[in-house]
Amino acid sequence: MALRAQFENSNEVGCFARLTNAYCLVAVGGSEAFYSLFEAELADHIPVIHASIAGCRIVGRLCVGNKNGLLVPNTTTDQELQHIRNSLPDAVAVQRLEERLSALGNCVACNDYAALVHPDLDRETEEIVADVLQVETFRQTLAGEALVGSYCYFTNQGGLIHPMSRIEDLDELSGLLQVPLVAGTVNRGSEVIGAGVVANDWIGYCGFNTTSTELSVMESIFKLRSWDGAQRDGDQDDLRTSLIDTLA
Amino acid sequence: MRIEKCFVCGANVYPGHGSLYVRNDAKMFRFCRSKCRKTFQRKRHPRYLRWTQAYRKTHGKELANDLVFDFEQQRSRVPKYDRELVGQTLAAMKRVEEVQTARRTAFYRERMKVRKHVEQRQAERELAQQSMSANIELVTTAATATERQAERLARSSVRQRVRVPAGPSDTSGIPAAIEDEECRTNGKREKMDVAEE
Repeated sequence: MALRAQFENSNEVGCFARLTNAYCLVAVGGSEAFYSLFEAELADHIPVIHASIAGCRIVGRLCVGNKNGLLVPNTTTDQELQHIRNSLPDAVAVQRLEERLSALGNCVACNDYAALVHPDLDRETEEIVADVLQVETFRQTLAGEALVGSYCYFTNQGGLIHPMSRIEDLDELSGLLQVPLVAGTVNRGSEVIGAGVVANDWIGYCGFNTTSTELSVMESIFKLRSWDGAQRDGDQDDLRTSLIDTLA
Repeated sequence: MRIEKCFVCGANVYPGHGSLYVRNDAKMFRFCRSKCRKTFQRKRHPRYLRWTQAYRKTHGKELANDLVFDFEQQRSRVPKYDRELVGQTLAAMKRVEEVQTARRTAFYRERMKVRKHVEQRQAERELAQQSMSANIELVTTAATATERQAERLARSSVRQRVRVPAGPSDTSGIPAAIEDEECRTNGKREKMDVAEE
């Protein structure tokens, strides 16, 4: 299921939330409706917590994580780090990174098995990313953009990538990440995918502006359609078939 | 809230105090006061300024590289909140503080011991130098005294030599030049002696 959400009249839900299969961080702010939307769907399965990083609400852009771990930038205060540590399950490793590029959400994109990292990231940081998140890391750019975390979003099911990326790059990347990828947009044509979408293996959120076409592309590629779970192997809806055709 | 250390002098920087300089490579430098900030801006290295902790540590004037400092460090991974652990930590902090003070004092005493030796030796040297200079003075005074005496003696001998009976001197055995010379000097001395007398 993919839902439309808004944080204080902003469509960039990816900035204000970080969603993984094991936890969900939501920004502290005036928009309790935004938090409620996450809580309503997720609270039964995973912890949904209010968090701030370095006193900022843009938690989605500042931290990066998957079901194995969470990495926060060195600007995170001790109290915030302690709060996040206390709220997340023990199985999730929380670590602060000493890295010059402190907007980790923009520099790293990951699912539970693979991660794309910014080409300028330190070697050491890359190692820590691989170690804490238990992923394989790849230094990549997307359509000439170094900020891989901003311009793509991928889960264990599939991924959405900058609309201007070339077909060859798309194929290469989906080979690296071992998930199907499509080039697309969110929020009525925004190419900043990472800021417009958050998703895990069973639910996704995007901005209010997202068109129904964009939403259906998202649902297909992230496999968020609970109602066609039984039909996945059998007969599929037209959109899904057409997408798989284009991916194959 | 974290109590930071001043980059230059190493003093504590409490929240809301001092200033922060962020370099282009995102490295942060905290200063406790404008003196430290200005020193940094003039590119003075804290290691070469006598009033900084960095100087004192590098020159062996403060306890450095000690195990007691390993307790206090920034951790990138934190343990989950546990009331018992917090209690233990608080107790341990007090103990660590005690150990640190003890070790610091011991280090200071040890350092001052050497200083005592150094001071004593210096004092001895100074004393030796003083006595030597006193001796020299004595020697010089003695020297002048003997010199004067010798002079006086010489003078009197000259006088004795000069006192010759009146009349033509006996110059039979003396070569002409020497006699001439001697006569001249003698003549002078004679005149002087006469004046003295």
